[in-house]
Amino acid sequence: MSEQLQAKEISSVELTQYYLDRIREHDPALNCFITVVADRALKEAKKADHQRAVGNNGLLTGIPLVHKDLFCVKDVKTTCASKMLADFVAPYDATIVRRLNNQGMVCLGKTNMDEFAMGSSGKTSFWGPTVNPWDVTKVAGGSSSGSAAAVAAGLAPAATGSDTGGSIRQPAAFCGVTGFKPTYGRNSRYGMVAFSSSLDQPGTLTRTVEDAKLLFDVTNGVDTKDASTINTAADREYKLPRLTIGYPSKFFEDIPTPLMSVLADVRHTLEKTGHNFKEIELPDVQKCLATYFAISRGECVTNLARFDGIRFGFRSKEVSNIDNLYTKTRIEGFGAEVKRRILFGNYVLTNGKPETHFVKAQKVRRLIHDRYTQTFNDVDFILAPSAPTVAAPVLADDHDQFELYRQDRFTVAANLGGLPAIGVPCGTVNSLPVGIQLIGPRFSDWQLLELAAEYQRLTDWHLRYPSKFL
Amino acid sequence: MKSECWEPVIGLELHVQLNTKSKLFSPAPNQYTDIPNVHLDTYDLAIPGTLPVLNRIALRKAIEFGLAIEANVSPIVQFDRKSFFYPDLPKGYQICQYHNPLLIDGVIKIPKEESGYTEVDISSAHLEEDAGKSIHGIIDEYTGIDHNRVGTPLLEIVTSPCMNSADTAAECFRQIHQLVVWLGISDGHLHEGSLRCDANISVRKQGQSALGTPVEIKNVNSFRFLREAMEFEVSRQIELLNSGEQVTRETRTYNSRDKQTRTMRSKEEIPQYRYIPDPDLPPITVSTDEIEKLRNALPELPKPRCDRFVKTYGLTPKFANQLTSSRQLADYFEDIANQFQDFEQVANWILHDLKGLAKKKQIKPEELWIAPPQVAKILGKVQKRQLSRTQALDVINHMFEHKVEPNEAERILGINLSSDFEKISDWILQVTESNADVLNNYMNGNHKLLDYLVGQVVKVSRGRADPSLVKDHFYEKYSPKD
Repeated sequence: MSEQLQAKEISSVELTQYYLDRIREHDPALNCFITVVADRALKEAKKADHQRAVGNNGLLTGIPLVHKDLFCVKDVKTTCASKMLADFVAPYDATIVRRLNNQGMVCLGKTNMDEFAMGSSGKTSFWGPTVNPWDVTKVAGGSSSGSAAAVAAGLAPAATGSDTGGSIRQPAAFCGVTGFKPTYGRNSRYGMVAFSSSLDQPGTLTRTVEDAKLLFDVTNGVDTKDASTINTAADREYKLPRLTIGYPSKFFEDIPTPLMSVLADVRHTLEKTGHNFKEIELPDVQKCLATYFAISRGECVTNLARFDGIRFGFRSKEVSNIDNLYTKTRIEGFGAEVKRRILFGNYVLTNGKPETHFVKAQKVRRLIHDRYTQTFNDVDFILAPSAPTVAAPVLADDHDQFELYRQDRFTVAANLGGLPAIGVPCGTVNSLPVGIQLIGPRFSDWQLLELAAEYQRLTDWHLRYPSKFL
Repeated sequence: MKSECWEPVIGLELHVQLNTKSKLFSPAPNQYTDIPNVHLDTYDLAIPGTLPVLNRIALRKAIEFGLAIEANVSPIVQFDRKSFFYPDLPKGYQICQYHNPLLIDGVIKIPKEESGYTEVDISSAHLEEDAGKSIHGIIDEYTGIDHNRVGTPLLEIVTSPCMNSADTAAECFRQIHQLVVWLGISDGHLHEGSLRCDANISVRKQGQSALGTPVEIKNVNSFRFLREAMEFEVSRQIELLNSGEQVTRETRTYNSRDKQTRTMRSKEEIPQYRYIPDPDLPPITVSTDEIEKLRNALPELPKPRCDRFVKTYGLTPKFANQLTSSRQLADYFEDIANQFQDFEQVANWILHDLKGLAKKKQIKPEELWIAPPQVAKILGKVQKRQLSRTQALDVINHMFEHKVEPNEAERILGINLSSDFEKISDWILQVTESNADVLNNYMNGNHKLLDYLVGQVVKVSRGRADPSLVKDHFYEKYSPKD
C-alpha cells in the first residue's frame, strides 16, 4: 500500500474514500465502528497527499487506520463502549495516536469493543456486539472486537488495540488477523483509558506481521507522560538464528482435537525451517487465571472510580444528594460485566487474612514472572494457543461466567509477566480462523516479530479474506 | 478534680504543602489563588487516559526535610492508591505512600525550659497529593468544586504519640513550621492552609503504659488554637473519665470562637481505603549519592545556627533564638554583622528598633530591611554619635517612604551632625539655667533627678534631642558626686 502511494498509483484520498465506502457498505452488518470520522479522514488524507507530493513523508503517510475506542483522539468521541462515556469527547490525543498522526496516518474512526475492555466476546459493548466477518452468527472476540473485525473484513488496513489479558490476541485469532502485544512499557499508555494499569498494553491488529512492525516502529519508545515506559536500545536489524522454541504440551492437550491438530502444524512448519522445539512446563493456567483475576479486578476498582458523574460523562438525572448521585450514576452508567468486575475487585481488595487476596495475587504474580524468566533461560520463545476454541455463537448462553473467563487462560500469563506476544492466523476449523501465539522474554519484541514474520513467509493464512467481504 | 493523676498523650499529624512550581503529578502550576479552577491540567480533573508523572523537585524537598530531622530515607520510592469517594477527589483515589513511607524515624528537638531537649519522634513522613475544595452556598443549593488545590504536593508528617502536654505539641507544630520555611520547602502560610495540623489525643492514668481511647482533632491551623484545642480536649476527656464515663473514639473539630471541640464524625464511618500500589508509578530508586548531595547542600539548621550565634557573636541565647526564628532574619543579621562589629547593637537594631517601627507603620519588618552595607554605615554613625537612634530610624523611615538612599534621606531630613551636637548643648544649657536647683541636687548625688533633667531637655528640643545622647552629655559635663 505504501509502495502504491509512493508510486502514485493511488492517492491517500482515494484510499481513504475506498475504506469509507466499504465501512458504509459493510459495517451495518458487522458493527465494527462506534464513530466514523469521514470528513476529518478525507481532510487528513488530502494533507497526506500533499506531504507525499512534496516528498515530506514517511512509509505510513496517507495510510488509513482505526483506533479502538479507548484511545483518546482529540475532539473525537471516546466512549469505551460505555453509556458512562457515550458523549465524552476527548480533549487530547493519546501518545500512540499522536505518534501515528505525526506520520501522516489517516484516522477513519473509532472501533467497537467490550465495555472498558472488559470482556472477550465484544458482547459487553453498550453499542451491541461486533460480529465475526467469517460468520456473522459468531462473535469477533474481545475486547478489541471492532479493531479485529474491521481489519479482517477489509474495512481498515490496520487498527490499534489494547491487551490486558488477551484482548488483542484472542480477537485476532477469532478474526484471522495478526495481533501484537508488545512488552509492557514499550508502547505508551498515555491517553488509553485504563482497565488494569499494570497489565494494559497498547498494540496493533494488522493483516501481516510486516504491517505490525511498521506501526510498532512508530509507536514504541519512552514517553515522558507515561512513567511505565522503558528505554531500551531498539534492536531493529535482527538476523534469526536457529531458535529453541518452548512447547508447553499441557496447553495443547487442554483443547479440542481439531483445533489442536491445526495448532500442532505450526510446530512442524517452524521445525522444517530449522528451529528446535523443547517441551516445557509453564505455571498452571488456573493459577495464572486466578492471579490475573485478582489483580485486574482490584486495579479496575481504582481506575473506574473517576466515573462518578461529577466532572464528565454520564450523570443520573434524578438525584437528591451526593451518595445518591454516585450510586445512581454508576448503577445506570456501567454495564453488568463492569459492575461484576468492580464488585469482585472490591472483594479482593478487602477480604482475605492476614493479607488481602490482592496482596497474595501480587506475590503469585512475582512467582509466575520468575518462572517465565527461568524458562527463557532454556528457550528463546514459547509457542502457545491464542484461545482454547474458535469463535463462539453470538447467541451462546453465557450463564457460566467462569467458563467465559477461562477463554483467557493461554493469554494472561504474558500480561502478568509484561512479556511481548504476537498472535497470527494458522488455519481454520469449521471455516473459522484459528490463531497461535508466540511469546518472548521482555524486550525481545523485534526478534519476536521477526520469527512471526518468518512464519508468515511460509504460510498464507494471514492473506485470506472472509468471502462475504471480498 | 483529680486531674493530677491523669496524663495526656498527644501525637500530631501534619500536612505541609510543598512550594514546588508545578503539582505533584501534573504540570499545572502549584499556586494559591482565589479564582476557582484555573490551575488545572487534564490529569488533575482525572480525564480518562491521563497518567501521573512524579515531580522530582517535590521528592527532593521531602528528602531535604527528612535529612533535617535525621530520618531514614527510603532508597525505594513507591506510591499507593488510597480509594474513597469524595466530590473534590477527582480520581476517586488519592496517591500516597502507605506501604513504604519515604521517611521514617526522624526527630524534632524541643528545648526544655531548664536545659536540654524533649525529643519528639517523627515516626514517618510521606508524599501525597492534596484534594480540591468543596465550596457551598455560591450557587443556590449546589456545591461547587474548586480543583486548584488538587494535586498540590503534600508532605504528611506523623509523630508518634509521645507528647505529654499541649505546650510541647504546640511547640512541635511551631518548630516543624519553622523548619519547613527555613528549608525553603514550604511557604508556611497557615491561613492559606500551607500547613495543617491534626492532633490525636488520649489520656491515661499516670504510670500506665497502655494508651487511652484516642480522639482526633482535625485541621487546626494556628499554634495558639492547637494548644487551646488540646487543652480543652484533655480536660474534657479527664472530666469524662473522672465521672466514670468513657471516651468515644471519634474525630472532632475545634471552634476557636467558643474554644471548644465538637464531634465531626465517629470513627466507624471511616471507609475502607483499599490501598493498592499505584501501577502508574513504578518504584524509583534514590541513590546514596543523591542523598549525600542533598545532605551536603542543606543549609545550616536553626538549632546549630542559634548556638553559633551565641558563640561567635556573643549574643544572649534569647537574642540568638529570636534571630534564628527564620533563615531570612538570620541571614540578614549575619550580612550586617559581617560589616559592623557591634553585634549586640545589630541585634538590637533588627529586633527592637526596626520591629518597633514596623509595628507602628503596620508593615512587615522585612520591608524596612535596607541593604546591609547601608545599615552598617548608619549604625556606624550612631556609634560615633553622629546620629541618634531616633534619627537613624527617621532615616530608615524616610528611605522606605521615598525610596531614596541613606545620604539623600539624611540631607532631606536636614540632619546635620555637628550642629545637632551643638544644639543639644544649647538645649542642655537652657535647661540647666532654668533648673539650677535640680542640677545642684543631682550633682550632689541625687541620681534619680537625671531622668527629670533629660526629660526637660527633650521637651525643650520639642522631641528632637535623643535622650541617650542627652544622658551622655550630662555624664560628660556634669559628673555627680558619689
